[in-house]
Amino acid sequence: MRLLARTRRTLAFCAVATALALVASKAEAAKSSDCRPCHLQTHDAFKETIMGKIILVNPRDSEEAKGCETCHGPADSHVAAADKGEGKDLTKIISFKKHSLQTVAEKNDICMKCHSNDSYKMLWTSSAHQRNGVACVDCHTIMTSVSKERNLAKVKIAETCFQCHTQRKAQSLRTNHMPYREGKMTCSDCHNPHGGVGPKMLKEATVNETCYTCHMEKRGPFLWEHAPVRENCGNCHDPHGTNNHKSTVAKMPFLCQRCHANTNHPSNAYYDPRAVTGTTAALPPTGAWMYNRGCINCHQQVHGSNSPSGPRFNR
Amino acid sequence: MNMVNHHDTSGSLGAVTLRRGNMRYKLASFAVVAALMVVPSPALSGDWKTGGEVELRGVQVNESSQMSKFNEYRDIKDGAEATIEMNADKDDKSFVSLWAENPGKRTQDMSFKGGQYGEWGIGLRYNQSPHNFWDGGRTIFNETSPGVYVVDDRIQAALQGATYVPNATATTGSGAATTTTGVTDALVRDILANGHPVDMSLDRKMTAADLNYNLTRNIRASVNVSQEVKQGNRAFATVYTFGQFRESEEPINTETTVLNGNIGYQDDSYKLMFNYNTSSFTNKVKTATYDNPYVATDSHYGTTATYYSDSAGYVLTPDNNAYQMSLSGAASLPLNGRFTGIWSMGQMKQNDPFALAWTNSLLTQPSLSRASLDGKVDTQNRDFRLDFDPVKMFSIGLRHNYYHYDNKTEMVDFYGYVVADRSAASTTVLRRNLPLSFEYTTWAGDIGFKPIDTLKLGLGYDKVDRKRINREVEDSAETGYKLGAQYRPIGDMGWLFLKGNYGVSQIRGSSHYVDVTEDNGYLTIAANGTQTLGGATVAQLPMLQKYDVGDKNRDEINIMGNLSPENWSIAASFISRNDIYQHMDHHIPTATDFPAWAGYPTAQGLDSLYGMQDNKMNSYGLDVSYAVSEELSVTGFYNYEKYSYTMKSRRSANVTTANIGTAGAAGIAPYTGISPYEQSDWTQTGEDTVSTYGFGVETRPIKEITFSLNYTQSDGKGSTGLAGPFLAWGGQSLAGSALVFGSPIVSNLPDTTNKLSAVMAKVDYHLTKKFSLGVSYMYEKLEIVDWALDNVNLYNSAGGNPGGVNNNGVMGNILLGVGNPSYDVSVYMLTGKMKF
Repeated sequence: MRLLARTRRTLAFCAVATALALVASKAEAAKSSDCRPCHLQTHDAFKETIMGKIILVNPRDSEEAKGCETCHGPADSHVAAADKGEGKDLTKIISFKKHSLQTVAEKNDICMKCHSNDSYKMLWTSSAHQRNGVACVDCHTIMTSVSKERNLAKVKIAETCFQCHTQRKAQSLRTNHMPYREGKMTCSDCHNPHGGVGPKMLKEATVNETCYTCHMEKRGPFLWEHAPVRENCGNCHDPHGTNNHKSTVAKMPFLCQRCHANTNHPSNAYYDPRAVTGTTAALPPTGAWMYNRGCINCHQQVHGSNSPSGPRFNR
Repeated sequence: MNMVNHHDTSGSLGAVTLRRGNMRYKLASFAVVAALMVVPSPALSGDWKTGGEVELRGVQVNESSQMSKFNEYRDIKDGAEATIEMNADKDDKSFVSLWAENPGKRTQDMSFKGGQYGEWGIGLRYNQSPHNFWDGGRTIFNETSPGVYVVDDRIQAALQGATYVPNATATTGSGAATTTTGVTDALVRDILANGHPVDMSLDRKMTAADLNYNLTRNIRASVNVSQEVKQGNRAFATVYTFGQFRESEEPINTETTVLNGNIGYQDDSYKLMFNYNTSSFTNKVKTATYDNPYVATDSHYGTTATYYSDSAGYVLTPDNNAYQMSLSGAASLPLNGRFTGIWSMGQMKQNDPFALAWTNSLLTQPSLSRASLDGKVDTQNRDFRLDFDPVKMFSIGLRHNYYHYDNKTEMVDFYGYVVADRSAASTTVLRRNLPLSFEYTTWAGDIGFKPIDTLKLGLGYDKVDRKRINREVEDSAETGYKLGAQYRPIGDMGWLFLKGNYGVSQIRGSSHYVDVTEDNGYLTIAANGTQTLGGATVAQLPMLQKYDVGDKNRDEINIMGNLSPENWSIAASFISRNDIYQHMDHHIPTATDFPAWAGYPTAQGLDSLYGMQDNKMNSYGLDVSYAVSEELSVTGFYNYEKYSYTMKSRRSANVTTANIGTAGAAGIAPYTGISPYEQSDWTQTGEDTVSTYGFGVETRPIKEITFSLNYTQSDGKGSTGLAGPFLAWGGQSLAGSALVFGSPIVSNLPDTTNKLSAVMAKVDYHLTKKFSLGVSYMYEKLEIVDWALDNVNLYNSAGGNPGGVNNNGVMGNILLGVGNPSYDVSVYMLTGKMKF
């Protein structure tokens, strides 16, 4: 009960504080309308975005109540310059365009003043994108709604990433790929472009923990573990797409023979008998190790087995 | 004897259940959409501003016979589909939105969002996606209850009576083929002709809800929960003995549940967040048993009978659950510094009862030392980063990461030994699992230097120490150095940005060869406790470099350029990565290390003898877009990739020794002058190249018409080269085989090709501001030539093999008919779109 009462008091305090802030901000918000005559199209398009609906219509605090100046800074000198026909003078206003005089870091700081208290952007300040000079506006378009997804500069998340990551764009057209070309998943399902916990800006600490978020059945632990599988799914799979079955990095059986080269049947060199016999007719590929799913034809529990008879992953 | 299902000829039980389930989901989704459209109407009265869009599409598909790959993750079929979007908001920031894509279809997505912009929000989502594996699967198995697949007893008896043992690898003694194959072949083909279709696909149905709430401007909390159900079938190879497999369905009926919550605080100087996540995976079909079509009665291997188990049993994926909690934060520091860190801890658990050690009734079930694994893994991740930019021209960064996958699972002892229900080993032989653990510790640092405003140079160093338990290489360290440069000749946000880096790294391990014990995944321990590592018959390859733990040197180059002058956007990239598995400077093996390995050339020095030799990747790409005017924009891209690698192995069986020795003595080239062991060496080279390119046009020639055209092409080619003086035929004993002597020394595999052509064209005619009609056309053609997929039949017999040679492993295997997934599909679509 005491906790409930305290929560009520906190909520009441928050409500009063918010209301006061809003009342105080209404007077300031009018400033944005000063920008509208010159930036009519931009202003009205922005007003239709979620940010516009907050900053221009319902600011939550005095900072947001500055309207356009929340991001673009004090506009007095810009307005004065515009009056003299020098409105394009970028020394008078904070601009986010290509030719602006602000550095990437300065621009990003403006965005991050509001956009960093969610789990997605917590680690931005030391992320690879931040350290490599990627600006928020490289991926996000603020003033108009190009995408229904997070004000992106392109309609889809993957298209936005492909602007720089051209190799990944090519891989999305491979025979075997994650369903991002079909729109069923996207880059940000695995990667956090604002700073990930794991390598390569992954959202989870390791490759495997990332994969387990969807492929939970592979998580185990199993009675019989397949060591390279457990340590890194990327040892065998390239999730961005390959022309090999199940997006493996090499064809069966040669993928398995990268490690299983020393004992029993995996040490054999499997090859096409047609080359030996001189037969040219269309024939079934040779050997259970070669055709269909290769080694997986028998060792189908290659991700781990919980059967007492499964140390070789065929149970 | 198994239950006979004479009546179920329409498909498996799982498929029937699935179809019923789909119908329920269809009805439910229609009801949800209807409710979403009706319910908000009165609620949205007042000063709500409403809007939305409805798009109706008529679809006509002209396809080749096989559509599974085209529709692998989608469900484009003849018929009608729709996308519905409704939005409403008020000046007080309140909003609701509804969205439904393809409601009632097998691939559908629906969501509801509501709340107040910037204050709080709730979301509900239902998403259904198919995963189509194959359209034309056929099987002779019937699923009589979940996970129980039977073959008519009469089939089993007839095939057993045919006296031919498919896949018998021996030519004499037990297990040998004893009569002509023709009788069995004809019989199997007859039987398969009456096999029934099987649905080889999954449906994923995900339901999710989330809530986020800004308690204050500084504190934000969110909770989300989701549940995903997967139902369907996929291909599964059942193994009854060595080299025999009969493909059937694996029943998929699983459920995953995830709950995630977090709360974060932010002010000008620091941020803090706590996150908790828990999830569970439940498999509703724990085991699967499959009749052996060829065997009606169980029998021992090694007796006069030549048949094996009449069925095979499998333990399917066990249930598991996990949780993780983390604390992450970021702070501003003096000297223009910043800190970010995360500390997470979690646990993964699995404790399903052990089941189905084997199904052969003649073999005694083992006495398991425990009833379940009680598997438990603790994970911990710590990641801390410090960055300082004390002056404009200098920056420094430090990073520490520690990840520990700590497998607390105990070793479990199993006496007795069964492989594929064929035979039992001595009950004094012990098998023991090897729980794998590993921990990575990374220390890294970099400094940046800006000699001029437009140029930034960087130097980085990192060291990763890896410790593993129960792996061949238990301790290794990777050390890397990186040089980088960023050049922005016209300012930080100018239209030209060039970036490049060059890195080298090397991995060195504490041991240099494979311990065969771990390689086989079990220890052989005699009853008196003496461990026999893998048995004396298993040869060990000195200096085998396993792909993921081997010592290697890497160098890597990344170059990227972005040019974006007015109306242009150009991105160019070049990536080159080169791994060499050759230099191991800590131990040169001697004959003392490998006394049983006579003939090992100790003069090999530092080079790796076996396993991966090198692994290379080169890629370059160019992506251009140009806005010619407000009414016309064009795009184009080209990307080329080349992956190549070399690996080397040695055939382990020593049966070749005598033959090669004989050949050498007889002066038959190339078997003279080198040891028999080296004659067993072989090398494989792989090379995959892919060219991907495309272009696109978007234009609005007149106000009422928009037109877009996109074309993409991906041309992939894979080459596999094999070289060695001696190439083994499919694992058989080569004694006396014509292939041992006088056969080609080099025998490359045929090239594989993967070509995907895709065209998408769309014209929209905007009749009014709110109403438009459209026509679109999509064409996709996938052409695959692949020796692993071409000519894969439901059944393969010796008669279809080159020269009538027993190509060990193919004969007698019964498949589902899954083969080359090439397709050629055209989709025509008529669209009507209305905004309101």
